[in-house]
Amino acid sequence: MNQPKSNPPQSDGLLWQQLKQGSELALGRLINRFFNPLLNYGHKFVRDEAFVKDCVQEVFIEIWNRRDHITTPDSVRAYLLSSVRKRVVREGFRQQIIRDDQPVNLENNDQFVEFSPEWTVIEGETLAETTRRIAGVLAKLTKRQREVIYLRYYQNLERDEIAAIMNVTPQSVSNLLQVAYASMRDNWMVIMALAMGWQINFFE
Amino acid sequence: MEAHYRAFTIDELTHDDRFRQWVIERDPVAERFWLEWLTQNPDKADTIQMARAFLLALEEENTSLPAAGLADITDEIVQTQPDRRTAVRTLPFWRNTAFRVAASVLLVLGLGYAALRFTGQPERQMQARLRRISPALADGAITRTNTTQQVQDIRLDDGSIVQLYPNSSLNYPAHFAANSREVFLRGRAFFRIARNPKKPFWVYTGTLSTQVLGTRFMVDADAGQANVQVTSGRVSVYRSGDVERARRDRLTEQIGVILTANQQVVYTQTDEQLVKTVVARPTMLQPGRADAFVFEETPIAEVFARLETIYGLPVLYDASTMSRCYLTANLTDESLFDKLALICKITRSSYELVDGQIVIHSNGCDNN
Repeated sequence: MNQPKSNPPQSDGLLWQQLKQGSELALGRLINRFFNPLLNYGHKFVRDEAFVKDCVQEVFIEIWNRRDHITTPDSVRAYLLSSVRKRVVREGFRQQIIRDDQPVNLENNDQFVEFSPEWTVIEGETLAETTRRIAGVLAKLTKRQREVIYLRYYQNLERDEIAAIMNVTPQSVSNLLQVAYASMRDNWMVIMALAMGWQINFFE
Repeated sequence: MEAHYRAFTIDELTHDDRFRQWVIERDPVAERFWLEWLTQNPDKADTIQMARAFLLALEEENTSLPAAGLADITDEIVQTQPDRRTAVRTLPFWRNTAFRVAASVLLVLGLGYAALRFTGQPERQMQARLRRISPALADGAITRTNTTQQVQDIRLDDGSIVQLYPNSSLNYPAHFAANSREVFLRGRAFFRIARNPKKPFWVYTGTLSTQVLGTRFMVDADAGQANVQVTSGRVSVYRSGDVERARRDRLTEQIGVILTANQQVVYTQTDEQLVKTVVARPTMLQPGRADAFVFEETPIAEVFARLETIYGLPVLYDASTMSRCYLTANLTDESLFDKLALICKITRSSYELVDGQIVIHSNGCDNN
């Protein structure tokens, strides 16, 4: 499962250190690199784009304002995802309490919203169809299994990083992944058989 | 072409940087690569499609902001002062319009216009226009017109210095207001603005608006065209109509262009668009060491990083394609564009200037 990730010339850690020295260019690059993935993650908890955008922006504001005091995390991506998760959940609760007249579609802490794909960006009938089928398979997983799969594949994280974000042990992450693979495997074969009759070994 | 991808499983594809650039980041360069790869490996189309569909299923919805939106966010964060924010944050920050206004008023405040568009207008109309922009500029402001053949220095109330070019004029108050600094320019001037984030500096002209906190830049305008060039610091440029509309309707967001050192924006009246480019002769932001541009078997990533630091212009290139490119050269005396031309010749690549950035196209340096 562990492929070496090729490191871009300006690694996340390097950009972080430049940010700590007050480089606006580095801040801009980190925002370019991570803002959209963070929006996507936050959106899984609260389906309110303006709210999530503000939360993600606040995370960056706090980092920028506290740049003299913060340390460089082992994994910048995992640190940012974790910060956004905490803030979205915390502020989401708070907002619901403070502003009853503006309810947010908020799930509770351990929940991960249902996958309900809207395929506006996906061109091509077959791709859209395959994606819909896979979304159907993902929808059969529990919310925690789904989050593990999302962090592992969409956010490209390692087991330990996922554990830190979800606040569970690395072993639990492995267990969740194994169970998720097991329940996906059968459906996966069905999709492939239905869609194109492939023989592909995806999950070892 | 990239034969090793033939052996990739779906799982491996979903973790591959280049594949992710295409599917997740919608990067056009990566897309071109994969579409090309697919035409040469048509038997792998199903694997590619499955991996792509899997990532898209996880994404669910595209919530991405465009690059310009991300640049605005960066700008807002940099220009939002901690003390200002602390006061505001006693209220729930994310629904508090005061917070949003505080951040974006800073944006609006620093705008500078550049154009001679109003030269022909009657004085009365001019006064009305100035009053609409700022009362401080309409009544009792000083108007200085340079009728000489030399550049004239004007020292403003706050210590900022304006070099006014011949046949240009500047309106400015004897004393700036408590919370902003505003001037109106017709013609051409170079500004050295004293840094004061609490009192943003505006330069108004007919067609362009530029936001400034403390920086050096040139505003130039004639009848059909206007441009703003940045020597150091960071400014935001807007079309004047957008700014007036934003103020009138109390909008907190507007469409503009952010410029940093060695970038410029050009406005032409015919298409009314702001076009961001690199200035004609980029200068070094910092002198750097004498041997900053002496390279010996230096990895190309390091070369580009140094260009980026010293000239302040972003350099975009495909790191994995160029991972085996090295440079041995002494480029100390060349201009930036000559440096780029030589680097490209040696690494068998080419460059173009896109949106004020340097974009390198390369097929890699493998000698096979």
